[in-house]
Amino acid sequence: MSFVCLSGLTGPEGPINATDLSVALIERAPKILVDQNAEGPSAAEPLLWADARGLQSRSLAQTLIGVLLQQGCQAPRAGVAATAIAARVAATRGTERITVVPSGADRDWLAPFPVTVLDPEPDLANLLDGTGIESCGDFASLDQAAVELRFGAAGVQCWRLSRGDDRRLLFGPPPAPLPHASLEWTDYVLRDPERLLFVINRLAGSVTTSLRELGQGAHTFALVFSLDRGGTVEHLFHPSRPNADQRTWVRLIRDELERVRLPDAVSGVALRVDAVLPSASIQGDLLDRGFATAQAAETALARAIDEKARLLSPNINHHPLLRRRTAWREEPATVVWRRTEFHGAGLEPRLALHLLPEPQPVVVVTETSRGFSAPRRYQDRDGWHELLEARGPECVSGGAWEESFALDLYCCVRADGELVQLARDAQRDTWTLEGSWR
Amino acid sequence: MCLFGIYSGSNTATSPMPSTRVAAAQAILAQRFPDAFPHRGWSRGTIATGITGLDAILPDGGFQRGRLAVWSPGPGAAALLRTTCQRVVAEGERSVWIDVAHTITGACWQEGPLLIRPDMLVAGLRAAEELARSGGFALVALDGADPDTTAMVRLSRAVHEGGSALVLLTRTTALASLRLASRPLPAEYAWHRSPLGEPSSVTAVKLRVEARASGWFASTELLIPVRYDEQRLAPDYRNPDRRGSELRQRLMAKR
Repeated sequence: MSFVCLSGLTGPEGPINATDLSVALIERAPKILVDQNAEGPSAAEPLLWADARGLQSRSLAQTLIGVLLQQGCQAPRAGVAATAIAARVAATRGTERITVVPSGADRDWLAPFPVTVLDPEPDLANLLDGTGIESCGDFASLDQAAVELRFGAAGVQCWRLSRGDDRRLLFGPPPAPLPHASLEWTDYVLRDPERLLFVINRLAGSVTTSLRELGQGAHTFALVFSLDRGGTVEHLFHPSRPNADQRTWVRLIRDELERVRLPDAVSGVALRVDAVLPSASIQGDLLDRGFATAQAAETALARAIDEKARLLSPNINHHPLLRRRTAWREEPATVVWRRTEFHGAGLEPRLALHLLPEPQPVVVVTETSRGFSAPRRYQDRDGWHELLEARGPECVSGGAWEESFALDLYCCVRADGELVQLARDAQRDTWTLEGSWR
Repeated sequence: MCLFGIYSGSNTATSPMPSTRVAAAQAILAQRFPDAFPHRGWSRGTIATGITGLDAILPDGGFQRGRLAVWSPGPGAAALLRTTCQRVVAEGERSVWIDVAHTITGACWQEGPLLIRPDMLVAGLRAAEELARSGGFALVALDGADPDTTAMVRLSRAVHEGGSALVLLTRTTALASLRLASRPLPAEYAWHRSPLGEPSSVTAVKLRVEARASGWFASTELLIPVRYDEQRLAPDYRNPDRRGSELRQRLMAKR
């Protein structure tokens, strides 16, 4: 017996989430499948499938029924058969709590049931009805050529099911284990993780080679240190894009090793891939002159991002302060494939204000001009700077609901020709250098 | 007729195409298309800034690919380099700006070139090295870093391998094939005047740009407009606009 089909997943308060049930069932069966679109006794009721290959089918079905009862299902039923169609009909049409279809008797067992249990398409169902084919047995007794001639490919597929010939593969092969490599030693222990870099480099080479052979790249990988007194320390790495590049891996690991402090001596190290994605290529624009080098550019950008750099694009908001007007959005390395169209705009050089990362406090000598204290000279880290002109102030205030601010902004021309922006905090009466036009 | 360059299409999963196969492919193309000639503009030549006066003083009319250039930071240097980055993108190639000092504002940044902000100086230098070596960027601009000689050697080697043009806004000039400096000329600034005839704001600055290379010196003067960001005044009742408040208080005191 290969399949156990479970139906009747309804509790006292209505249908129970099949995914939740599958979590409970997976502890008792090697593979569980949720069939949300199945046609149960009620159309909305899903079915659950369990893989019983190599197991005692009836015993497994009894166990699973017990689990469903514990989970609150009122009248769960199970169908056990060698074919999926027979198991499904047994689960949905069987009269017992567990209906077992004898091995090799699927066709005979299905014969008395109406053809509607085969779930034919509406057009095919009408044809079968018009032809007078009512039961699976009637349908199965026909010749394949006659069925193909009258009912087409869909009819043949349904005809096969009526004969207990179900070719569906409900449970695919198990996923291949993700690559990993490890090394343990007993003669000595290490306390400095940086001395392990040579070993880790070799492990990374092995794992990345395996990944490349699978055509995949690691989305997440882990470096695990086995400690001498038992226990492990795990470090997770998330490259900026799925990759199987040994150089990138070792660089990420090296950066981590510079910071890591292990609680105990190390007696083993393992490198494990936790999540993979296929190494898919992005479709580019053939008319883009940079298309040919986009792959190399993307790889280099991904490396730069892994080196603690961020690829940014601005989101401009309407904040009164220029310093808070930009929200930077991080971009992935794949933006290199994007083609930017220019239409001549923005190709003229213009001096623009570059803001210092933080306002720099300065000492300012002022003189009164039109009711304001306008700066005449200021002193920063480089010394005193005479000002030829100070335009302003632009009085900007706000932030009543968060952090209130009130600034007088001056655009000043220094004697050496540099344009700088000075700001007076009206609340604290302090002066800062905001930035310069560059 | 022009042939596009042959690209190996390397990625993480495949190794690059061996040079022998590239040579064989080139031989086949030469046989099949005898009138064609290899297009070498992508990997060699110069990158014009698009500013006529500036291109005129640069050797070969632009930044040389595969070479390291430094531009002493000062008024106009970043503006002219930003425009060059824009022009590179407009020409269909790729440029990147590495903002180590984190001074770029969103208001002055225009779509086109890529903007990278490293968390620290070392990350900025590594990013510049990676991007310059990749060959995927025609122009790499590094702003806000003063690399030491060792770093300059690494950058110089990377840019030579990748064929990009790397321009550093720095005062370190070691190993640079081209050195640029821009000096403002405040006496020749263009001013916007108030209704009373007083100079109120600078509308354009005049710069003297000097280019030095081995056996080369040239200079020019450029007038560059100044871009002012729109001030969005947001007075509220707790922090009112105090424009003229002191004058008003004095007048009130006199009365």
